[in-house]
Amino acid sequence: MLRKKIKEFDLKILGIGLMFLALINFSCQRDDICPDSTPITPLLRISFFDIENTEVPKPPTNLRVKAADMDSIFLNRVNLSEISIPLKTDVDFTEYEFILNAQVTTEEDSVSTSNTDKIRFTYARNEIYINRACSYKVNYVNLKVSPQTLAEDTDRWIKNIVIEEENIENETNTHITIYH
Amino acid sequence: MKQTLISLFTISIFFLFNFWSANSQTKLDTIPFKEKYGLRLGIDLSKPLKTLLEDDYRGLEIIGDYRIYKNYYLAAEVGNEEIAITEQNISATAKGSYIKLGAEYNAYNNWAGMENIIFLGMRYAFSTFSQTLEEYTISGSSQYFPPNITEGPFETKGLTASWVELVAGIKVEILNNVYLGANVQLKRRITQTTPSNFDNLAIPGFNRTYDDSLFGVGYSYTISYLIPLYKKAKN
Repeated sequence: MLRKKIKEFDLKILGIGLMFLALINFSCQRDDICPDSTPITPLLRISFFDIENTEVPKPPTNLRVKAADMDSIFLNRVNLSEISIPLKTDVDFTEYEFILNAQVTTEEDSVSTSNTDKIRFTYARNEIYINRACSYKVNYVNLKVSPQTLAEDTDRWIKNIVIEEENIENETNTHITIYH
Repeated sequence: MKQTLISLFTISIFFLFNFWSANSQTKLDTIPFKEKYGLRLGIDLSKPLKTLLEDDYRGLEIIGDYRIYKNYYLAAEVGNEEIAITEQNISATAKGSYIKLGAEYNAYNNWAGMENIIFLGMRYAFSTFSQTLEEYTISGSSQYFPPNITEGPFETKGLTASWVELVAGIKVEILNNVYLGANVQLKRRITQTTPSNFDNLAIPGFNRTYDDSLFGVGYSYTISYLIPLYKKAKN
């Protein structure tokens, strides 16, 4: 009788204890930080290839990349055959300046051999909910590219632009190939 | 270590004897004690308190239970809540009402003359609510462009959710027929409808949700009054 009672009591205590353990476990679970592994708004991946030998990647020399309406520079004097740039998520277009042979300061650019080509990217945006930590991301669809001819630009260094993927949903593949 | 074990053992033995002697005393008592049966009604104290103390919360809950047989009770809660959730990149408000229906088992063997409760219980709960997306920032890996913040509110009405709860707690009679209680709840969602291209960050009655998890937690501090309807001998 006594033993049975103790056993019963023990089981109840165990049950309540387990529940508290579960509660502690839950409160320790962090889901308010967006993990790096979660795909968020993708960047636009651009590959540079040689116009004369279209199979060969060709990094532009000292490339500076900046958005046309931004004062700050996104990439400065890089020599990469592949870059990833952000597109605006609040409007349906982004204009970028691609400056070949960029000099150390912007003042020197105007007098030197630097060559600025401007490209306007237009697209439609899909806002997609991820989770409470990562909020929303934007996927771009129906990407179009139009080179903007500057009045004084007589020699464009970008010879051809090919859209490889017109829907930008991830960063695994190149979206745009630029031949120069 | 060995010493603690020995002292634990001694203390246990001591308690066992105590337990046993107390037990035998109640057996010797020949006057059968009559226990109260009736309807207990009250409120969750934590919710009005949180309403006063926190800006992002408003809520009220009415609780009730009815003793049907010996240690078994039918129990229910009805409430209304407004829960605001603010995360780093998103904020939302859940607003609505809920009802919880279920049963409780009193696992505590009272001494004669006392009617306290240590209970385990289950509930089925149903909530109807609205979810309002207040503000969100688009997540991007680049900080080059200024953050794109969209301000709502975007409200989705007519959402529902249902879940089951495991409840464990106590109810102590502090004055005649007046009970103070505390309990914890472990919840598991069964169904929910979510706004399109969004989620329920909180559900009234369920509290905040967790990403990729059906579980939720909650607690209550209750005060209630027992309306005695009839008395019945303990055994």
